[in-house]
Amino acid sequence: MTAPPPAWRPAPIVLALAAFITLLPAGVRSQEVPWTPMNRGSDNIDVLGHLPLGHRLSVADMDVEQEMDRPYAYVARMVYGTDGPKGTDIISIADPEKPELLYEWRIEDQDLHQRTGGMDVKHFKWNGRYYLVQSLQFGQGGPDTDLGAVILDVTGLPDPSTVREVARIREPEMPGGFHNIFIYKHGDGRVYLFTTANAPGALIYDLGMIVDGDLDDARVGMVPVPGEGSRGYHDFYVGYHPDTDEDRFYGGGTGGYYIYDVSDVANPELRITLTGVSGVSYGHTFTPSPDGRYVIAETEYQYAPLRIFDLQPALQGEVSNIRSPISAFTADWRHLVHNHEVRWPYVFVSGYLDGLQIFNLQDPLNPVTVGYYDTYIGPPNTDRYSQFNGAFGVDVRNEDGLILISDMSTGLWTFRMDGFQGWDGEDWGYPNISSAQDWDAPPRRPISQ
Amino acid sequence: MTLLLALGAAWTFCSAPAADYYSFDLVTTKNLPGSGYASGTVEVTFAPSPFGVSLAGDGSYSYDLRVRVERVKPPRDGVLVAWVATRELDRVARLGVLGEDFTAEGRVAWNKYIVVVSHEAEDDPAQERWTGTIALRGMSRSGMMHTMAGHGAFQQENCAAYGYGN
Repeated sequence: MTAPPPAWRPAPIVLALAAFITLLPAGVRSQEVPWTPMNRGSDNIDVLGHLPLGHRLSVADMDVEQEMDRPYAYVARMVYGTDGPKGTDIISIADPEKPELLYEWRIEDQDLHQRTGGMDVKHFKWNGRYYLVQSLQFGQGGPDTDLGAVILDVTGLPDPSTVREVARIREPEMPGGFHNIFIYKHGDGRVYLFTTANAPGALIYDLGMIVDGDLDDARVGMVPVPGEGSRGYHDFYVGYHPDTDEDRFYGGGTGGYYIYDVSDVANPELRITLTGVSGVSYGHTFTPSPDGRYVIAETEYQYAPLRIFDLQPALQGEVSNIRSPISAFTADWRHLVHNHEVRWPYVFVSGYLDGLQIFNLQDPLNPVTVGYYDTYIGPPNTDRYSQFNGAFGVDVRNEDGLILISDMSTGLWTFRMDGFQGWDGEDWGYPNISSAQDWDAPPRRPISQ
Repeated sequence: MTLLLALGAAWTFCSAPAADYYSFDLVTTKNLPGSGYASGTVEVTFAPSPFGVSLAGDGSYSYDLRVRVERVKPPRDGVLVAWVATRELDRVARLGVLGEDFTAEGRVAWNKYIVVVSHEAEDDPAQERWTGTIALRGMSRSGMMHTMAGHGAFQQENCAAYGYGN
């Protein structure tokens, strides 16, 4: 005869723990994000328009013109999946609620070109005409491996018949094309294209020279990456830095992030480095606040947040290298956030699998999410890198606060955020400096004049 | 007699069907109605020669190509034409119209090349380059050889999957 087993009684501590877990909000328990397929956005975000653009994984970066009488968005087209076009789309946002495809530029014989095709796209104005620059990447085994970018004259929009190709930038010694690009109205009055390539730095082209016909002499400089064996930069931003009266280059690449004085584009001078940062062996997108004190730094791998750095110790000359972020932002810790546009104190983010994300940096130590809309409700990739789907590019029109997202699989989106009806840095006590260029402003004069 | 037998054997050997390694796939673009599930192969053999190796005037190897397409619906009008081109598309040669058995044959003396099957309005032997929709394309295996220096920036390219349809 055996004795019956004693009845199991939970210890008081177990009961307390169970009660604590039960009473926790559902979101905390599972660390779920608030956006769902049935509730994709925060209440303060209005979806104005949506234009699907075809195949899954066929959309890359985007750019929007800033002048209200030129309501055009440009969207790079690539084949990151298995199908899609290779080129760029010109889209009218005259009615942001009904984006309209106006024109498609495609590389000829696109089915015979290897690899992705279009990646980044930007616009500029020179001598009263408007141009689009589309970066291109074609692999070996097919044509145009040396082709880095195409330039289109888009002055005559919205009439698509007036769009004409002006130039193609080729670099036979650096095959593989251009990845990210940035266009900057320099203090010397010229308009420069900064581009990544298979080069140990960012190549600089004088776009005025190119569209005026002098392509051979248009490469006027290169911003190097410090150190040996460099893979170059991935992405960058160029902006005026009032405190030093310098044109400054902010680049992410091999080893971290670097800030150069590019006032003389032929002789860039290194100012500040951000290397030795935990978890950063290769920097990606890198954007400063309008005054150049804070920088938002991206790295391109799963789980990586956007890191926020305070450059003040370096700006004051106390150190030359910064290696510790002061804060960070991510949409979903399991994912990855991508490009960003700073309209201080707001940072607009294309958050890949999490769509549009907006956070506020008024307290740089405590970034706060202030809006979101999930443009992509599908799963992570299983046939490509898992994180590379959803919101790829983001841009903001300063005049009226229109927000645009290019989504790799769902196309172009237009949004408004309640209370954000435009942006001028002066309204926030900052210089009116962002990625948006003022093409018609006269060149800045040196302080001594 | 021994020499003749040897030559005959060599001729027979070179005319034999290509081994798998000497063929490459044609991948559909899905741009032509009725070709969405199409596939194809290009068999590559050394052009026969009584001297064992057939060379072009510039010393390049000459190869015979046999293009075979499957699972494609015959176009309602026009013809399917096979072409071969250099990677840069700066030189193009017409292999010929795909017959009722959806095959075509031709010769090429380039090291790296692309085979294209396009839909053309008519069978025009004088046509120098495709003008119609490209239905299928494939890259020679030699075309998969490339330099690391030419890898696109941040492309994360998979060398083993180089080609079309990857």
